Amino acid sequence: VGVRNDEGEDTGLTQAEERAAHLAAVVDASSDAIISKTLEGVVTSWNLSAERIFGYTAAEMIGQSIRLLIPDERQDEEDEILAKLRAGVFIEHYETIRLTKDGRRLDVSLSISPVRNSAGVVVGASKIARDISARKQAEEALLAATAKFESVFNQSGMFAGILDPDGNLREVNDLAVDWCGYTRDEVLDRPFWETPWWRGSDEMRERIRTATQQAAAGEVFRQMLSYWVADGTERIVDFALHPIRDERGTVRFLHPTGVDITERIRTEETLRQSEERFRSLVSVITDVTWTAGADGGFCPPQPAWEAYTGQSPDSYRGLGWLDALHPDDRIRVGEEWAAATSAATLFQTTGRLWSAGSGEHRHFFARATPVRRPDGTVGEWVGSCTDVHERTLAEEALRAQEAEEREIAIGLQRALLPERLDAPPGLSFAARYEAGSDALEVGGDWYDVFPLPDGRVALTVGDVVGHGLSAAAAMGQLRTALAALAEHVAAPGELLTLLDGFLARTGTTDFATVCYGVLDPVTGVLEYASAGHLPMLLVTPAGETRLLDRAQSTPLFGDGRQRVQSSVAIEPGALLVLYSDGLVERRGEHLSRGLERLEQAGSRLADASVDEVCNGLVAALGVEATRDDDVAVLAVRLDAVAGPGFHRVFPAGSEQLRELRTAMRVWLDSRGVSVATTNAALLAVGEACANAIEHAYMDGNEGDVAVDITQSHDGSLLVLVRDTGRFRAAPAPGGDRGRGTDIMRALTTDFSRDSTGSGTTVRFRVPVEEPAAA
Amino acid sequence: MNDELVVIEQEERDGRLVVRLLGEIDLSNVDLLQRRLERVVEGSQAVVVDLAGVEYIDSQGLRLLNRLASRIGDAGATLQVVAPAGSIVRNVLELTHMSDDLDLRDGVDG
Repeated sequence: VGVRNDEGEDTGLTQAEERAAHLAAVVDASSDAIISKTLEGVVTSWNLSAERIFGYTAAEMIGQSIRLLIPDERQDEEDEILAKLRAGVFIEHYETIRLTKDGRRLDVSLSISPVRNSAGVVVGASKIARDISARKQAEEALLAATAKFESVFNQSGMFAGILDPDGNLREVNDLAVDWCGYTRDEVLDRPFWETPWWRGSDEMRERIRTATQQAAAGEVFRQMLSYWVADGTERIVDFALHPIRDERGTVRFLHPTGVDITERIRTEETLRQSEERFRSLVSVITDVTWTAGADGGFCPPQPAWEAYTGQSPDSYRGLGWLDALHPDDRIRVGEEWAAATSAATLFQTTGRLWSAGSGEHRHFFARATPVRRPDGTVGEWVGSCTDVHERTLAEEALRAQEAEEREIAIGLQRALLPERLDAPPGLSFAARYEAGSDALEVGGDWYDVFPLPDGRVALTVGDVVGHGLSAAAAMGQLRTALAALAEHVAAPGELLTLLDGFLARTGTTDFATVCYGVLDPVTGVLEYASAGHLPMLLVTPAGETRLLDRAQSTPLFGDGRQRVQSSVAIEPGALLVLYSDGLVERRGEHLSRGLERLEQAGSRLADASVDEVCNGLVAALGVEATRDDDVAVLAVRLDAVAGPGFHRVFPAGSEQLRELRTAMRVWLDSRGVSVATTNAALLAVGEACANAIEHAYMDGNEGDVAVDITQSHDGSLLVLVRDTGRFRAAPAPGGDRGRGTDIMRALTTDFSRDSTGSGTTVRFRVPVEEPAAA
Repeated sequence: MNDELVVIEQEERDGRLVVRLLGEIDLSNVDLLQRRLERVVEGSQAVVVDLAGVEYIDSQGLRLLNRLASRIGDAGATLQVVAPAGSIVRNVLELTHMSDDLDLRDGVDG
């Protein structure tokens, strides 16, 4: 059966030829390079994606040896591949490096299958090559982020290291060696269980060996262990060993961390011993018992009181007993006693009482009950004082210890938060972090703002559930992972999905909430997604408020589920507030009440500077010293612009450029822009548009070009030029297009160009200062 | 092509061919302009290209100037380019350091 063309003529194509043509179209449409070659390695076909990925055209490659693509040091690979092919073996997902025409090294994944003739003899091979450079870069960025995090640990008060999967110690932080009195030579490059930290006990060495095997198999290990420092002292460490996996889930490193908890454990031990002693004392020794009249005055005899305090009857008579109390306690206890005797209720208090036997004031717990006569009136009081001195001191020591750990956690938290936020052009922002007041209840909140390679700005606030050192550490790890991923992943929903996967692989934390947005300073478009985090607040310049709650998904549990995202266009001058739940949640109050308060306060602060917004929200929402949760607030304002922006979309054709310049001149004139700045803007925009038009022309694409310009409050011009052409590598410098790029860079600041599958976006700012071309 | 975007005027002065461009040079007219200029300057031993009346020129126009300069040089002729200090054209030439390689003048008689 032949195929007929539009005129109904037989085109002479056979069905086999038609199938072949169809296959060829499928091959050309593939985003993977599809190449076939003979058993001698001579290229016989080369599709469009092969041209795009390797830079050679089909005409250049067909008839050439495939070895052109292979780096010198990998030429042996081809011999192996050809040998396998002759044997009829299929080669799947072979990751290696290949060269492009301009000499760049690409990470590629190859799948190669033998091609047989009708007699079944292998006559050649077809090869599918996929460019995995972007994935490799993301993987390396994640590993680098882990390494960066480790360096933060050098100032964190926590031991940290890196083991290879066999358990040999490869890296260790300064604290783990210096503080313990060891040198790196003594610990590195040997099995972790044979390092001197565990030298005091065979049992500990065995536990570490087991922990290493467990972690290499993918399980997290955590225990309190004894370890030994250089002077031979035994200490106690809260030790954890986490597996660190790569993209494919293979355990690549083990990450030991530890916090020295010796002092804390000793304090708890003292407390436990004192409680035991207290209980045994109570059983053998009676408390200091006493009696008092209905008016609260002591009358002799009070033998137990006399024996304990050494006061004579004349001294303690009436309210003279108060003199046996610590001077700082006398007035308070006196008032409490007066109140209790007049109300005739149960009396309980604590304070310090002079002990003649030990020659010091000792902590006591006192309790007294009124004894009533038959007519119901109080006849006398019977009371006792219990010595709780050891227990109170131990409790105070524990509180001090906890306060110290809290300080360390706050210090770590602050070390892990960005020191200062650089305002990218078009935005201003400020952030606050306030630690919670309860001991050990800090850590876990973060905020961050950073520019992305495509000129947009990433905003994030998140909260690792949990508190203390481990939450602060997990927060730091998630924050660095998020920043590393953000460079490679444009869509907020996808980023949260990947971050969730990271969480699952590293076991960083069980549960975290994250709010993440990407804001375009020129168009004002915000793409956002939230994993279980409270929604961002948007405040318009007129003071209208809106909670951005269209992209809520569950918190990050490490279950890898897909995340939704949404977008909203923000008007210039508008304010965005990202915050952690500590800002709005109050105990015993419905969350909606807190959000209502936030919206009211945000509305009142619509005109305030971002610094005032942060301070104002913290003040207005009643965040006091006694709250128990951390508070993180990030306020971002899109630059107010002077008047309406310039927007024009036109078909990608050079005949449109003149009209574009005419329209730009009218708009720039209406904005009062100087002649020099006008010329610089016309030239820079002209170059960007000429690039877009040339690409569209070369790709045979009927796309559009869009130009957006807004004027910042400082007079500078923020420019965005977008085309819908397909991806094309940036031109080599020095050529004609390279010169165009040089001109754009010379005339503008904050220049960026971002090419994706759907088109190229160029952004820059034309400064109001006299530009170079003025 | 956008014919009216740039106007070419030419005159003989003191044995030199003066070619005056008035208007704007961009991607839309650069190829046509190049062909026309090459025809105009052919056979002349001394050429002056006066760009004082050019209101817009980008890297496309610079490429044209580059090619024209090589062609005139190859023919053993001389080329002077008029771009007054502070003009749009002069600024772009300086920005790209093309001013280093051209015989630049402030005026036709300067």
